[in-house]
Amino acid sequence: MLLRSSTIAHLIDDCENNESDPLVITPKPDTRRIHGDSSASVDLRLGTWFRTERASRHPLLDVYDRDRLAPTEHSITQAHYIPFGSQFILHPHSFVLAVTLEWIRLPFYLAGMVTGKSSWGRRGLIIETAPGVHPGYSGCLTLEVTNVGDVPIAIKPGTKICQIFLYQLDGTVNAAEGSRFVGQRQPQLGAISSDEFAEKLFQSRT
Amino acid sequence: MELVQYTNKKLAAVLLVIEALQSGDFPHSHSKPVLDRIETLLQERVNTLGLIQPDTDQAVTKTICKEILHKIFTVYPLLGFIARSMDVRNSFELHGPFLNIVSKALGEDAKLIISSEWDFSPFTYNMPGDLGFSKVVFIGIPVSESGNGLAIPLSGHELGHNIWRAYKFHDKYYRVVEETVVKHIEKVIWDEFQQYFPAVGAPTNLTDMIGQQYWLKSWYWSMSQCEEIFCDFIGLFLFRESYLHAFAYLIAPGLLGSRAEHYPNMLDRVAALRQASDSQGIIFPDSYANLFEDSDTPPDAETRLLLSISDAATKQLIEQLCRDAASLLNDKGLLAHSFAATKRIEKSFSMGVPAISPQSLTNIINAAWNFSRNAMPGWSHRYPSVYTNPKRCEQMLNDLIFKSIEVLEINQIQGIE
Repeated sequence: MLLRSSTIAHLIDDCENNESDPLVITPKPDTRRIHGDSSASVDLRLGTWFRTERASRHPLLDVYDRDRLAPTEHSITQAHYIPFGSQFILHPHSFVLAVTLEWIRLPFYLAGMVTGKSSWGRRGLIIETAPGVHPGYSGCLTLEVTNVGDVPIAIKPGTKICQIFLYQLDGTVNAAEGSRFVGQRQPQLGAISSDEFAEKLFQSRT
Repeated sequence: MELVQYTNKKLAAVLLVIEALQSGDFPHSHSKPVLDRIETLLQERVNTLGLIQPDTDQAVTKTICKEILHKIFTVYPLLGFIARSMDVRNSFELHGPFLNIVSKALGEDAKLIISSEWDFSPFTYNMPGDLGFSKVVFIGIPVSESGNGLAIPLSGHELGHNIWRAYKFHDKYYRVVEETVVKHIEKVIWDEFQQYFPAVGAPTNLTDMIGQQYWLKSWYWSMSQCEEIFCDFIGLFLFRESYLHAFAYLIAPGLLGSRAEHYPNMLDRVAALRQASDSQGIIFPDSYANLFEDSDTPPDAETRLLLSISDAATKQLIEQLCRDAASLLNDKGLLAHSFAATKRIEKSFSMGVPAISPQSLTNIINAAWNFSRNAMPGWSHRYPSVYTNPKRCEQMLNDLIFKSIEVLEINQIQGIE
């Protein structure tokens, strides 16, 4: 079931009274305004940390190459801090990892779906290509931001950049399992994990 | 003219470095005016060099070149400091809320540059007045701690040095320390003092020009110790219990080798922190003093005697230093903290979320230290995969601290309590 904005606002307002499994969004959005909205999402803002790819001495980004050790996050990307009042320029056809200004904690009975805002999309700014947020997630959301247009775009921390839709699960997930989904305040590449199924396929012709 | 050419070349090289730094990716704007000022100072020297003619007196030329070399030596470490202020390992989120404290303490026009240092001791630059940086607070944190939220209270001590200078506490304590030193020699250790310095003759000669030179070192060390104690009190009163923890974290149990005379004896310093804590209702941990040890006393007897005089003088002034630090911060509205807000933040951390309405930096850092010292209550069942991994635990708490600080800055900008 998709939650209405007013329901989300109610859950946010109630977060300090709910000590077991609250929905928290901080900095807290203006819940009075959300209450009056007849939509089904909450807008999220652009944060202050960015991570760009950088040229390195690694010949390619090969996450499978365990013998030679895959390049670390620090060796292939560079962090940038853009304080309030400043801006980040995203050049045409370039890509940056950004982060939401809001730290979000989802209860174990809710999942989220993050999408860009159409007003940005129409200007060539595409946000978030892996939009699922798991129940129990806690942290700032990493956003994949790409300028697919032909002119540079300035983006400022604090700008409404995307929105989150919240869905109620048909039950709750195991809290301990949910704890895997802990984010950080800076954008992260995250690990690309393998499994037994994939490993067998990878090794089938070696 | 060879000397002039060398000096010109050195100046041009430094100016080139400044030009490169000016185009750097500074997250906060306060570094730029400092760089501009240094550039102007050096450019003025280039102009002065241009006035030197082949027939200019060689002594005059040498003096000018010496002064320029001195200026390069003075500003050079500052350029490194400014370059390192761009490093993303620094606590960038701290800038706004800490600048708020700096502005209240030193005035709205104060500027702040936080950087990291390849020196395992936080420090602040005390720049010569002619450089025009009297309202710029430079705070350097050891590079491995510059992104550690729990170490933030140490910045309070460094701000203390700037306050000491700005409010001319040196001038205020100049005579007080002198009188205390003389009184101590006269009333407590005269016989021993006379054995080492028989030339003084009588206690009445202690204050004449001849007598003064024998205890000048004691005075000098005590002045410096008083400043250090005052700065501890500024850090303590600004950050309360978290200052005690951060202080112990960084420097307990103390350093090997003979003690540095311009610092107070370590156990005296801890005792002063206890006394000041009691005066402000700051909870002083029971076994805190056990974490520390005094450094070795100096090997030669004369230095030991002189140091004992400075230690005794400093001890006698602790109450006054405590009153001065508290009263200044109180006047500036910087003693605000809230136990209730601290508890609320601890509860948020326990849920794995940052503070919603932190109200002050002090509340955030105290909540973080309490939470850390209580072994992250709530995380064992809420975040077991984090809880069982100490590195992830520290990382997550650090992220919660800095996100809370950012929330504080946002609330301050938006005028939200």
